[in-house]
Amino acid sequence: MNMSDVVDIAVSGLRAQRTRMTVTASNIANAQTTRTAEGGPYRRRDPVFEAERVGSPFASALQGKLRAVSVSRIQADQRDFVTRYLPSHPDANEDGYVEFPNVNLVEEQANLVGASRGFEANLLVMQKVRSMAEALMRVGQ
Amino acid sequence: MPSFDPSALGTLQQAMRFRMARESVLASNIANSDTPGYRRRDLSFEGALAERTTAMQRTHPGHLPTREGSPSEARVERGPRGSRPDGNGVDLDEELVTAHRNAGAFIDQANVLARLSTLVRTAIGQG
Repeated sequence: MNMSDVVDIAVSGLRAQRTRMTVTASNIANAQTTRTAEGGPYRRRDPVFEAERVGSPFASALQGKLRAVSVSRIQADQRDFVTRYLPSHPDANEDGYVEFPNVNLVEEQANLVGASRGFEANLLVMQKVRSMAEALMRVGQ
Repeated sequence: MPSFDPSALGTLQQAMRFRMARESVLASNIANSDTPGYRRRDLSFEGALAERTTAMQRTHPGHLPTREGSPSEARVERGPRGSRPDGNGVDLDEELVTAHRNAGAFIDQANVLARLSTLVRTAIGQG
């Protein structure tokens, strides 16, 4: 248990939320993408967060109970694509229908707000630790 | 005039250790505020205090020593599963307020420690 543990945990939170923001940005950017390397339209993705132990397993009892966060994988959303009738579209099938990505912009906006709030919260923790360290420095003066 | 009690320094040190440990537990909660199934944890001060005060007293120097209360003995308590669909039990605002208060307590204690050390230095003629 020391200050660097708190900083490590907060940094893991900042990183995870930033990844979430990047994935959301990619979803928004590709909301109309009908061609991908894998073939077919773009499939939206979600980061999967996982709690992760921090600190050495041989240290104090408390350290085994602290958890940082990590992104364990980026998961593809298996929901159906959105089909629209657009016969003039280059990717339309014989019946004139085009498959568009399963991206819902309202949902992505909510994700962005959640990610930036989470990011700020972790940043606040860093600021708190900093003022705690500063108070400790004053003891020696 | 009351004399300076050196044991106050030890008590302060324990209190600050507890605050630091609790801040790291609260940081875990905040970092995992979006982790599915994560349940909040907290260090219970009451639990640590009860462990200390109900510990056996040494009435004879030959008795085995009882352990000193320390943050590693303070219990880590897990909160309930959350009502959110992902089962996360962290309320971000609540955690931030708790972390803010906890850090404030640490800073207050550090200020008292600074005053005490000034007192000691004055007493030994180095103030």
